[in-house]
Amino acid sequence: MDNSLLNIFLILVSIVGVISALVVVVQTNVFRAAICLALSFITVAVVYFAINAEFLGAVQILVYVGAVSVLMAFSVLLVKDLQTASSSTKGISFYTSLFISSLIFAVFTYVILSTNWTTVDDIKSPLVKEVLFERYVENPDDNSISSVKNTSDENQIKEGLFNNSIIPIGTLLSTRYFISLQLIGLIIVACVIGSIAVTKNTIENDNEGERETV
Amino acid sequence: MTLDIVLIFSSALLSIGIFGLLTRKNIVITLMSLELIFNSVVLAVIAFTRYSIHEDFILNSLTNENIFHVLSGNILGIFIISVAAGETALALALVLALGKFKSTVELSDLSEMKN
Repeated sequence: MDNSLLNIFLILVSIVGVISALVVVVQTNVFRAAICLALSFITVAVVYFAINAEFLGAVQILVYVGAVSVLMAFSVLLVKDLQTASSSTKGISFYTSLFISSLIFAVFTYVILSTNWTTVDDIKSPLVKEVLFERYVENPDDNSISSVKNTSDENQIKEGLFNNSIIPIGTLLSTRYFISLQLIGLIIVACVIGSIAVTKNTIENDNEGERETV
Repeated sequence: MTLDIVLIFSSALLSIGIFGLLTRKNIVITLMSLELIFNSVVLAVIAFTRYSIHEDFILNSLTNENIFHVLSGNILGIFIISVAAGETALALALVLALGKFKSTVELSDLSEMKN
């Protein structure tokens, strides 16, 4: 019962997300397209929250809705002639690209519906279900994991992995994926320095041009 | 069933993004389509992380360190999101520079490097 309610909720959210994404690609006003893009990001974040990925949902709202959409809206305001985009197309015609994208969607949908996925519903072992969705016990001596019924010590009981995913993700990020995390930071710093260099040159040239005209 | 719904949502976002990438000439809307594609990829990764878990994988790795690897897909999602955000910031800086230098935002007008 719970699962079918979740399915109906996800279908409704997906319909909103798909419609707002369609508005993004057909809209001629770029500012409105940025707003609809933010709505589409929010629906994706809602799907994350619904399928027990709360950390990703928070990151999605912070980074995409809070930063990327606002950046898009700002760039629309800063560049003149950007607000009304022409609806003319590139070399590929409208109907050809419509055909290509709907073919991709049809093939993906066919493959998704016809594949017999191994899902969490197929899990038979009660211990695995407890570890994933309920509570489990961690033995501090050898780090082994056992069922909740075998212990009376409250301190060893941990929440299931998908009930409280923040601590496992933080542990993974700070141990096994630590180098990768630092590399991501390096990439973002490079992006920030690059964008500052590009725009700073532009502004300086602009000022010199104004001085010459004066 | 839930996995199917989320994956179909993801593939719908992917095909809409490809459609926008193919049709529109405006740089910013092309970037938005690119963001939609990134989003659909992360959504598919998270859906598989949550719903497509093999029982034997957990039974073979029942220690506290290894069990966390069930959630490795979330880490991949975080990395994709951070790289996409940095790339968007750089691309929008280029759009600003283009708007100043060439006062155009149409992709078909940028043909300096042709031939």
